[in-house]
Amino acid sequence: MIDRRKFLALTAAGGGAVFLSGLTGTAVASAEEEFYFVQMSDMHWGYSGPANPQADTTLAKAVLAVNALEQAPDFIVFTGDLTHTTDDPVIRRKRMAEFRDIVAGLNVKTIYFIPGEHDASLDQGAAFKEYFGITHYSFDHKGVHFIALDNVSEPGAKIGDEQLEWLNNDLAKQATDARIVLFTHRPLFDLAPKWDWATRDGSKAVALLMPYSNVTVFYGHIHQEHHHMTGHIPHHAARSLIFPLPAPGSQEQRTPLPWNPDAPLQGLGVREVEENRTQTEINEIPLLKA
Amino acid sequence: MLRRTLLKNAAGGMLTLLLGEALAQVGVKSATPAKSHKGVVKQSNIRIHAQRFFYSPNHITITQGDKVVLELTSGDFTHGFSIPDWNLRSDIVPEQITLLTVTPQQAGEVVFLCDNFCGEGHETMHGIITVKARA
Repeated sequence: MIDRRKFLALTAAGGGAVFLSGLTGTAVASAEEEFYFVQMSDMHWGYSGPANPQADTTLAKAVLAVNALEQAPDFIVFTGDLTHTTDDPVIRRKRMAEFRDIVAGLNVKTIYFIPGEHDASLDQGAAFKEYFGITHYSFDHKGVHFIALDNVSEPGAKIGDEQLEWLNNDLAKQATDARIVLFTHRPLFDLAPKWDWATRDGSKAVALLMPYSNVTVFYGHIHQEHHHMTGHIPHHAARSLIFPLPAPGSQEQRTPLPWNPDAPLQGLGVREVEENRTQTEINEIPLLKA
Repeated sequence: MLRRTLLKNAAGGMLTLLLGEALAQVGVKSATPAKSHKGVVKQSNIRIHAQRFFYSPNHITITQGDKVVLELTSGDFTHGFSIPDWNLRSDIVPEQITLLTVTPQQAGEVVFLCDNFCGEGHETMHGIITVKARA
């Protein structure tokens, strides 16, 4: 087993939460099949406002926190809203270049990016593709099939029929008990449509995933930890690295939670995901305590 | 120049949805107005203009059982107009008038919002429909 008891120490200190998601496999895991990755989400580089007066230094602090992890993850995934939106395509590209330069300071060099609506919705992902490559893709790592799905570049928060067809073809190559992890930005289910926390055709993607018994979805967008099941498929939202948002539907508007000058990193964090043969283990790491 | 637009629907004509809380219609063709609870037929038109990042007006009041035609226009962007509680939405394309016909069956408040990401103020672009109970 990978010795990562830091998970439990953080939990005992109230610093993180462990979520266990059982898989159907029963074989004893071998060391080479176990690994972990880090999810970082909703950095909104370029944001300036009262919800985080220290926005120009928060991302660098997150990079330092990830670099300080006792054991380096196999890879890092950024699940969207790398940058804060702007109407100016020159400023958009400047923000993306700055973001890319800051995260180049991560010790781990295997990094996957997907866009959020702030990155891609106003230009259908054109600038994002210039700096971070294609917006949907899949890859395999140590026995797990990973899928990155773009539900922001299509106008109106849609995946789109073309990408759904690609997803269908990609999944068709997998066994129904394959270990599948899907990354996306917006929730694939109707979490809070009144707050635009949904994907218009997300149910079509979920329907394609339903025949597969070992699927886990990780997403961002809502700036807080959240766990939801659609049938047997767990969906885990990650904390942001800019400002926290209120619980779904807890107030009239989805305005950011007030910034706390005594705890300026409160509510922000990154996520560790450990994959082994029998379960997915999630550890939330608050930036405040990291 | 503005031109009226017939929204696409399966039949190419009026689309009628029975939503539980509202009878909604999308399109421009005439339809038989719904009867109110007391049999009094009323119909009114309300124009709502979308402009980044607000609707004007952003609060409208209608009466339970009345048929209301929402005339939606946009000045700058293909905004969305979504009423999640009624499972009803449409794009609002600039230089067109989009018509949504609703006949709310229950009193109360519902939220409408833009569900096409339109920029930095997108998250604040919303409004309220108050449905008054029929006296």
